[in-house]
Amino acid sequence: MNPTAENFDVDRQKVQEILARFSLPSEIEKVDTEFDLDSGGDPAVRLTFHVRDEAHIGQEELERLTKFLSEVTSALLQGNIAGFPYTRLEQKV
Amino acid sequence: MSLPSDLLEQADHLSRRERQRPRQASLRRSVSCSYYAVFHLLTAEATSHVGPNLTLNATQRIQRWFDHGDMKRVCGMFSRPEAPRQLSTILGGPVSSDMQTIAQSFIQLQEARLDADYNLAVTWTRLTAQQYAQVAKNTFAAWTRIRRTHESNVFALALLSAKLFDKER
Repeated sequence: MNPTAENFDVDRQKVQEILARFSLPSEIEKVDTEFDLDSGGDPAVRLTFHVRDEAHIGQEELERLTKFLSEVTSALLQGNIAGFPYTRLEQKV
Repeated sequence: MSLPSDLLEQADHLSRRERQRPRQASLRRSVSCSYYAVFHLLTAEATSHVGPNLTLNATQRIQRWFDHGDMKRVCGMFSRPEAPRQLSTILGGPVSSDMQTIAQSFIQLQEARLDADYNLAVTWTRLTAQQYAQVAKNTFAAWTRIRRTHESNVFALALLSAKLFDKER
């Protein structure tokens, strides 16, 4: 197992623990996590927050969800994960 | 309006350009604009922090010295409350919440911009483009709050001379 793979395993556990501390906003139906390298070759954790198809996302909701993602990012960084957490909202509409 | 503000406005506009079925080109350009809005904001502000009396010509030349990769590395140092030792000795305290927001956003937006410009395997949704435009707006707001602080001066210096912060001196 190379060091990067070991880092991914440690990160996987930490990310799940940290995410479990948050209550997901009602618009989010699931979160996908992917562990790989970013464009600069550094370890990355990619978190995709899937927004329900029927959820209305106006400016107020967008600001609230972006703030939520920022809080998750800070918590993950303070949790000393090896990869940088890249967060992304997606809605299939 | 300045270039960074214009790019920010354009990012928002492109994310909403088509009322239905947004074009991938519009969303990709929106994401790219969000990154460059923040990039040009930080390079312009860092240059004026480091050289407040520079001529316009010199300012414009120096703004081309900034390296995207170096800026990402510096932002990595400012993205958590506890900065690396070589930085914390100059900062004199933890990284502020606003500075962490700026640093984290820059890294997020840079990666998103590379995907938007080069990765054709990614299909963009309107919400994702809007999210990054909002991240850029939040970065502008955070910078406005801290731009006259010791911390923002240290950040400006580090952006322009990243290698000086690679090890303790």
